[in-house]
Amino acid sequence: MKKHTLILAMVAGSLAACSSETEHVENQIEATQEEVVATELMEELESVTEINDEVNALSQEVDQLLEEL
Amino acid sequence: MKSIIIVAALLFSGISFAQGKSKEHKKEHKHDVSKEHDHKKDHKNKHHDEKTEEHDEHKAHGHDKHADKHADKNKGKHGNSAEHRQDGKHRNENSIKTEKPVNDEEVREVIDVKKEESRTVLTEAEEKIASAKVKLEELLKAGTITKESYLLTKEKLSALSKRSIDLKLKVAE
Repeated sequence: MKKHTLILAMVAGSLAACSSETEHVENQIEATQEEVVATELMEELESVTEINDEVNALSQEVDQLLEEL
Repeated sequence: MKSIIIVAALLFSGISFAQGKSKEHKKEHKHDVSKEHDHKKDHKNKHHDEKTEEHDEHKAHGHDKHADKHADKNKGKHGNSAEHRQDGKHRNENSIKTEKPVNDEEVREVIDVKKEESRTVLTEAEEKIASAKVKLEELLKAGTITKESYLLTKEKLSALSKRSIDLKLKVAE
């Protein structure tokens, strides 16, 4: 009887540990996904800023050419 | 009966321990991620701020000054230099507004504002290119410029037009 009790307790403990680990991994996945989204957004912002700078440079060149004419 | 109580107690303590550990993990992880994210953002923002400042300065000294000059030149013709200047001011305000994005929503907003600004400037540039082409033809007809000068300017205008189309495609992406 004592042996069975011990085994049962061990199984219960393992299940609890597994459940905890699963939750931990799920949290990690969620955090990683959030991080990926944030990084992608920052990259997009950088790219848009670069394009914006190029557009402004082009506008300046057009103004200059118009003035020359 | 005794053994059942022991099992129940062990099970309860095991679950409580596991839950406590999980909460601790969650808290710790969230803290780490926000810290790391903040650090990354700080770094990127710093870079972006530098760029924006540089850009604003450039605009203030270069483009906007030039726009004002151009607007003043055409004051008599169109009478909308104040509007132009206000437009430029608005653009600068947008740039200032977009300095320090804090969260994803704000970053998205900044991206949209910048894209809109690019579209507006590109449309204006295209209109200017078109008017420059017309002016060039008129100058050639009037004999004010040489054929060589005409061809050179036309080539420049074509290159600018192509760049404008490429940039428009990039903005639309």
